[in-house]
Amino acid sequence: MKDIRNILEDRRKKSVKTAVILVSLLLAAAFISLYSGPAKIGLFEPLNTMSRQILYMRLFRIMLAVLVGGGLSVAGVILQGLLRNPLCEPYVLGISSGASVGAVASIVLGAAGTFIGLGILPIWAFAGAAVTFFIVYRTAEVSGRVPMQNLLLTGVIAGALLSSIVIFIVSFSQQETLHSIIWWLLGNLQIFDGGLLFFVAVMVVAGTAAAYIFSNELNAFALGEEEAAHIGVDIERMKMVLFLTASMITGAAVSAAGMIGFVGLIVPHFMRMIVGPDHKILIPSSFLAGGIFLLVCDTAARTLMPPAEIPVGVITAVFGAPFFIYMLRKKSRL
Amino acid sequence: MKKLILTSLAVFLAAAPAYAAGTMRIVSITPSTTEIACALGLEGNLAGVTTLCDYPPSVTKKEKVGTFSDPNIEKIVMLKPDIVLATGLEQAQAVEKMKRLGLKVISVEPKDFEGLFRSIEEIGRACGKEKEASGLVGDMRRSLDSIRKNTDRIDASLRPKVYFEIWSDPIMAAGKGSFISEMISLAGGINIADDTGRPFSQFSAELVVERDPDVIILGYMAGGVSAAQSVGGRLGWGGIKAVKAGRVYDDIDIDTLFRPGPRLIDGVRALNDRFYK
Repeated sequence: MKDIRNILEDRRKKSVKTAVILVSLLLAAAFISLYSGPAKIGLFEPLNTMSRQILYMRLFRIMLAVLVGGGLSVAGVILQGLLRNPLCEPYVLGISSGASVGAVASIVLGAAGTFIGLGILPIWAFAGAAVTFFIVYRTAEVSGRVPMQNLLLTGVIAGALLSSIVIFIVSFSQQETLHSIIWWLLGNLQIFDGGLLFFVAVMVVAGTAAAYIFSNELNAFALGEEEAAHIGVDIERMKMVLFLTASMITGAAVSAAGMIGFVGLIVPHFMRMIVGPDHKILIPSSFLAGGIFLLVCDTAARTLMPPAEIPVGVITAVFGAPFFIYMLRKKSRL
Repeated sequence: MKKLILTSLAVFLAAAPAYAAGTMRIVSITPSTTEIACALGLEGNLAGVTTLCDYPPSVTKKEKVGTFSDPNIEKIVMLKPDIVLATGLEQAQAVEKMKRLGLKVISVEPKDFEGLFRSIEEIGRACGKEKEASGLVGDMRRSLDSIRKNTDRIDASLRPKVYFEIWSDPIMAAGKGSFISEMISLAGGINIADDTGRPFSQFSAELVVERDPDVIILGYMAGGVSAAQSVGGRLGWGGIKAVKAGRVYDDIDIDTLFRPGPRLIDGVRALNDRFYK
């Protein structure tokens, strides 16, 4: 009995330590990012109207980077936990592609002058993500149950189909908007709309909280679906709730920042190696680490080639791909 | 000698249908070359255009050979054109394919006004409209000169700083090497994005605030709200001079800014008009 108490006490200490480290890293990254950029603003310089506006813009961008990076990581944790496959992320189930179909459609219709307006883009992206999830889920369903292999395969196929639909819409849209859609799909964290930021914040925080609340169920899924059912988890319903949570977070992230790859794949993977597989610790620490990762990438994206910007999706890929290969090799050696 | 006569006869016979006035068949697979061909009086010879060709308005009734980015090569071959007008980069593959099929392709890719003048002359030469081409180029040069005569007098410190936004999400600006940049300078403005060093790139939003342009031109329709509202409503952009003065415009015909054809002159005039209102 004493041993178990010691183990729990150690775990608590370890998670407190991890939280302190991650929060300090996040604050440090945010502070450095706030004072980096193509427009020079000295730390001790008195602020004028213009520099105050520029700092506001950076602050909003920092918040979006943290929310999107954290959100995508949590969505990755949920999908990896449910599918028991560390290579899963919103892309695998076609949720990101679904969100982007919704977003691209709204850009094209907006360019036609009929549907533009604030709030349209995130609604379309979320609808695209949710509808995609629903179709994937229903297609994969066999006599009331949804086997994981079916879900995975259906998701991959839906993702491929939806990507083709994006390309179809793009190639039949007006020339002027075509270029921008391609750029948009590479991701961008500049935010001009406080309402949109608020929307993303609510969705991502709510989704992360939901995932945290169900972390015991996610832990049970790690044992296998049948084992989880034996422990008393209503697996089909839990899967529905958690996949919807993941698509809600993904839809919000894609609507505000476009498709940013690798975050949902690498961050949970890395954190699992550091804090272990317990979702009670993994979910909050992945959120923080994802925020730090995307914030660092975006700071690089907007400062490396002034006055131009690099699409942030390119940066995450440049940092992420070699890191992922390194982790994969390291893991296979063990 | 006999051989030479036969050869020249063969060459003449082969070339004759192509150069007989009125019977030459032209397929144009970019909106800009369609405009150039029509300005040279070749509208009657156009056997096919793309779905994006919409100027002059009467060309929309022509046979369609696909979109700009995806021309239908089979259909082009079936139309038996004597000449296909195309552009460089984006259509390089299609141009290559058509050349292999034995079609005569004139591919133009002007980067600035001098390049555009050369392209017009090249198309004129290939289609037997040399006189018309040099006339058109002469007219365009004279129009540009008359605008320049007015703007040259303006001291650099009095010229408006201009931010030309190609697209809003992400924000994309036109840098040096683009027609837009050249047009801004011809119209008497100073392009704040010239130092990107690339014709088009994603531009830093905070630098637009720092560089504080006097005029903002949108290369797209703001849609729904006014141009000034859509730009001024962005986080952090409310204090920009152009926003405060209400000098944000999205009312210039986009095709006169982006299509490298004769109507670019109208684009320069429209810019000049917005800069010195």
